[in-house]
Amino acid sequence: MVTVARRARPVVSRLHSFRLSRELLWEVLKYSLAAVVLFCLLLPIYWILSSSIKPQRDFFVNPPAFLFAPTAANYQQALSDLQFLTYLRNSIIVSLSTTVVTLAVASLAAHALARYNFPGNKVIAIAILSARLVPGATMIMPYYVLFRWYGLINTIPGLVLAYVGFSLPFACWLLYGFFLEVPSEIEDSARMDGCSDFGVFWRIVLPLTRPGLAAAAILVFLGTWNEFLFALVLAGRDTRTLPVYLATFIGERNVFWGNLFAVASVMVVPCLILVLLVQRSLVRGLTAGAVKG
Amino acid sequence: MPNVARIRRKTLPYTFVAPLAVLLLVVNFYPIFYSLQLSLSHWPVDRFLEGPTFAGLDNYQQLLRSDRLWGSVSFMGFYVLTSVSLTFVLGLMVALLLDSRLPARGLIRSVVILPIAMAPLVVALTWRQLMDADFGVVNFGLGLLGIPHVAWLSTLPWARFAIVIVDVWHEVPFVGIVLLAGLQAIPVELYEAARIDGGNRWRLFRSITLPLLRPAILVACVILTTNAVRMFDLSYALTSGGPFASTETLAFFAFDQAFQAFNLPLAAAVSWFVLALNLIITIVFVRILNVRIDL
Repeated sequence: MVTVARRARPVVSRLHSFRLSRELLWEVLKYSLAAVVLFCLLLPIYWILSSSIKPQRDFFVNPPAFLFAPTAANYQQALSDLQFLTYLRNSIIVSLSTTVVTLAVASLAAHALARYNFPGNKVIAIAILSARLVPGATMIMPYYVLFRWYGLINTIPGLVLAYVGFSLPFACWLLYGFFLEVPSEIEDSARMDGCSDFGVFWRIVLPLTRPGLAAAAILVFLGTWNEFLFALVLAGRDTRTLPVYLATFIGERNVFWGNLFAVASVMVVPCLILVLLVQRSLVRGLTAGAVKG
Repeated sequence: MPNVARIRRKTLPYTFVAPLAVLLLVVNFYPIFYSLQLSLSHWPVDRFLEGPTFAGLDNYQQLLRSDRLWGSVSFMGFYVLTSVSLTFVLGLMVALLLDSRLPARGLIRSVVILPIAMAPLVVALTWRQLMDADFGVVNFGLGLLGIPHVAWLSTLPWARFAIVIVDVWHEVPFVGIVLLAGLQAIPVELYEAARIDGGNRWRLFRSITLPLLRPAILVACVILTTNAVRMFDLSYALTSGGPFASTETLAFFAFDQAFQAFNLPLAAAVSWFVLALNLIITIVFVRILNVRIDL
């Protein structure tokens, strides 16, 4: 508890007005900070969206073109590009399959760890935690060699497998926290009523932890959808995902910024909408572990 | 029959964790240890089909003698220190802002969440355009303030600062949201009691907010620092590691060794270096902040 000495409140009116002006200063400071934060965060996002309908020549003017005659050409070019459509499809397939597989496996295991006391549960918990500390950059060399041996390189299942390995420890850890919060009395009474163990998991635990599942699903999906290094190394010409395609725009002498930003918008806008829709669960997922301790 | 039921009950948790255990073994631990073995091997490109041969600690010795490793370690030191501390301070400010009375707070929070959804690669490419030396918005804005143009991505020390700025932009929202959750978990009564006792704003912040925010600070710092240590996308897409390899991270160095120079064993050694750093940093943070991590 706080042990600040009890002090008389200032009653002199001069002091009062002094305090008032200080309060005012705080308010001014607060609002200007809010304005700066909003401006800094929104400008780059506005820039992506507006640049996707900007003609190529307007990227090479000074001062930068905030106003210009919008064009749909960037999107038309992107959408008529077969490569782009293939990579978009790959991105969707890879991200969705990774999310489904990860959530299925992680939720089963997290449920067992949260509810049953069995020999070896500590080992599993430690394995999950230590796998979580391994950076993706460490996994990429062995994946490359092993995937070549087992014929998984340049394949969609190979990519999904790598991403599942990457997201499993995290998803498991996240779901474990949510599953712990389910009161075990509910599960017990369901069991009394003749529910099987899997039935308890399927009909009681999963519906009760929907926000946690949503958070895990969103974070795994975003992580996969946005991942670049694994896709760059493990995917081939036909199995690339959107980030790898996006990266091919740079490095050339003449960057086609309009096309780049059209592709970037296609990549980013669904994620922005998704995040806004499930804000609440997402925040709970991001902050798991931050509020207890 | 009851015997069968008992056995079933005993084995049930194992059937639940079995898929996870198998996947962790196959996709995480087998590759990790394979990578350790790889880092202890020789595997020249011209004898690629023959496979790796054991070489002891050769790669690690070669690594510790290479200037490039220490170059990327020095950039990493700079990057981790500046980026993490800046992100933390700004994130804390954003969190305090979102926790205070403010009109349209929900709306502002929604805006703050947006960058979390964005791929580092997209963020990097966007800033590459914004920081363009001749046609970029950043230089235009600086020009309005009377500050001369800066070639952000191609000259030193600006390229290093550019990466820090972009990273801070991308991570402040995440830290802000995590710290906000920590702030909101602090009981209001504590503040009220302290205010009655005559504590001023700064005193309240120091003796209530900061200590009670410790778990949130730990989570934010560990994630920030380990992210910074393993960073790849920003170096790749903003500066391609340049100018003169001055913005090369360890992950970039490993990638370059593995897939440009095709020296996979050396790259594996680098990546073990990254892994060790990650572990050390996590342990140090847990020790400093004295928080227990449970699964």
